[in-house]
Amino acid sequence: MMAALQMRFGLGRQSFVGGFILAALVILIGLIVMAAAEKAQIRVANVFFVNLILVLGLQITMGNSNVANLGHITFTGVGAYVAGILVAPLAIKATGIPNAPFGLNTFELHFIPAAMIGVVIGTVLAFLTGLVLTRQTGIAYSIATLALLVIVHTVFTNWVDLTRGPIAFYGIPFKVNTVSLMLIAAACAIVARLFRDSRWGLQLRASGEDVLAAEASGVSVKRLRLVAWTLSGFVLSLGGVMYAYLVGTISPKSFYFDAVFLTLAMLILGGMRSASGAVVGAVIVTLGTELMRWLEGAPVIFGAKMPQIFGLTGFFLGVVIVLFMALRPDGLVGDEELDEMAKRLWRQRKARAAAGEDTGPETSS
Amino acid sequence: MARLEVERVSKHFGGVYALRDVSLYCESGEIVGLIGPNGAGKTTLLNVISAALPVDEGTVKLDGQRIDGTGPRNCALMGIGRTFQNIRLFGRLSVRQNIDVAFSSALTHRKAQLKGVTVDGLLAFMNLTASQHRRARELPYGQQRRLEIARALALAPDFLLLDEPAAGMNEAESEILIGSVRAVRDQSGCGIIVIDHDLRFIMTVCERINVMHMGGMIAHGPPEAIQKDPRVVEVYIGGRGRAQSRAKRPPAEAAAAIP
Ligand SMILES: Nc1ncnc2c1ncn2[C@@H]1O[C@H](COP(=O)(O)OP(=O)(O)O)[C@@H](O)[C@H]1O
Ligand SMILES: [Mg+2]
Repeated sequence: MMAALQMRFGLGRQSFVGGFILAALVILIGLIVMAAAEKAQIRVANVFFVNLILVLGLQITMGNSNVANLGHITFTGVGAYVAGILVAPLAIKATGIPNAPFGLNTFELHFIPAAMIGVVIGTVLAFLTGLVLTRQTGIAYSIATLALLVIVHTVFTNWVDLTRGPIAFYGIPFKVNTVSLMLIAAACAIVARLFRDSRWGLQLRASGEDVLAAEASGVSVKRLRLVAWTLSGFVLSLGGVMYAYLVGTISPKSFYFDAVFLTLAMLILGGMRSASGAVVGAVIVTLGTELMRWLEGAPVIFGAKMPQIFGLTGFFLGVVIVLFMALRPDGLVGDEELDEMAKRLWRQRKARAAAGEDTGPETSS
Repeated sequence: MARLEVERVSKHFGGVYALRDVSLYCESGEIVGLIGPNGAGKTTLLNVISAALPVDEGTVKLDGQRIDGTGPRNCALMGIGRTFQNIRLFGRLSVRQNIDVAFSSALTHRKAQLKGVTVDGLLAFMNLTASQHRRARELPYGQQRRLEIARALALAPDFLLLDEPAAGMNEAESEILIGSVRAVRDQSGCGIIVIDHDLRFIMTVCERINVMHMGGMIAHGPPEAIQKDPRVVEVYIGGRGRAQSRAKRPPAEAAAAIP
């Protein structure tokens, strides 16, 4: 079976082993928090898992194609609003969105089909916008992703009958907990890793190094960018659904610059070129922002909102982005996955040991 | 038997004519040399053949079918592999992955031509097996050049375009390269167009040589004839000053004068 996977998708054993190790790491974090932490800290961990899903979604497109993406949170918002509106109880809709279009206030869905519809609509929207976006290259592409964020935000804010506009949409039942969040985050880590290592991911990374050389090697850069963008839309809208089910209250503000900025900082700090980097970045930035909050001495209101960026925290994230872009653009993890790095170091050690043996008589004396 | 045919191609950048009415052909199994002083337009000609650049006038045909302006990806899948004068590898990817990128394209689009070609085989052929796990950007210069060739060969190309493959190589390395280029032709039967400044390399490895000067094709023939051709001696092998005075003659006219 391994050989068939290798043949068809270019995925070797190491990709699966590495993916599962990363997933195990994510689950381990969840287990430790559940065993040892207090309620407030568990809420932090829950938000961390949602953010991790979003960072992994961002990594799939930005990390592999090496083009800045500033609009990814768009799909998070779409997933959250679609699932949230579908699942909200009739009583809530009667007061919140009495004039809802499409008769949305006449029924409520079970949370699983609601989640599925949220993810499907998010993914389809990613595909359709991707058709247009991937025609752009370089800066034009990045600016276009930003425009997408602003456009969809404007819709959220102004389609009052559907979303309640700028006012928070509340009453979404709480349907996820630490266990389900960590499992989904772990699954997303595997997806990101396998995509990166797949034939498509490899060719996309090649195009991120040199577009002309990739095309001259037969790579369809546009199509692969579209594939990555769509897959990323899938993960990001899934993260949005998780967010809605976690906090129960969403507003357009939750899916705007603060979230873009936070997830970007996480990815850049950890290293956008690997799924490991996404995980490492999400962990460290979460710990860092918690520390900053504690230093700020602000009353801690976990769980109710995405971490709001203000004061020290915003400063900290800004510094992280600027410093890393300037000094270590590949982030902490660099351009390898953690297990690849371990393997390379091991190989080098063995090579050195072998070389040492050759010159043994001289060095041992 | 495939045939690559460049017919009366012109290409200018602003006021500079990089190619002026240039024609050239290459058939399967041939090794064709392309020489000329710096700025003669050799690289531009390769860029036009591989559709990295569109032509202004003229056509590039592969087996009678126009390929100019169809884009570098299409050209690659049609069977034209190339290397770059200023090496363009995927620096962060490993040596093996660099080859994998092209090989994957061939697996889906050139399966029939790929018969017998493997990544391991290419690594061994270009003497890169020991370095296969290293990042491409960490390789010494000579190996990077070889890796570019291996990557191009992973497309199982019908034609291979090499832009100064021996540049920066020492005597011994370019000696080995001569052997490799011949072996590629002998084993795969593809046609090869090779640019280089190392005349010894070109004269040894090529059966036919095209000479360019200031965007025009000024001579064409077997190595012995090219070495003796007074126009070539003047503009290329001879002194720079005389080359300049000679340049007043329009290259198109010069090309037309060549049978
Ligand atoms: N992309 C480009 N833009 C502008 N001018 C170019 C470009 N590419 C090549 N040229 C010009 O075209 C001429 C031919 O260049 P080139 O094909 O690189 O020559 P060669 O490979 O024979 O040294 C030169 O005068 C060069 O400056
Ligand atoms: Mg050149």
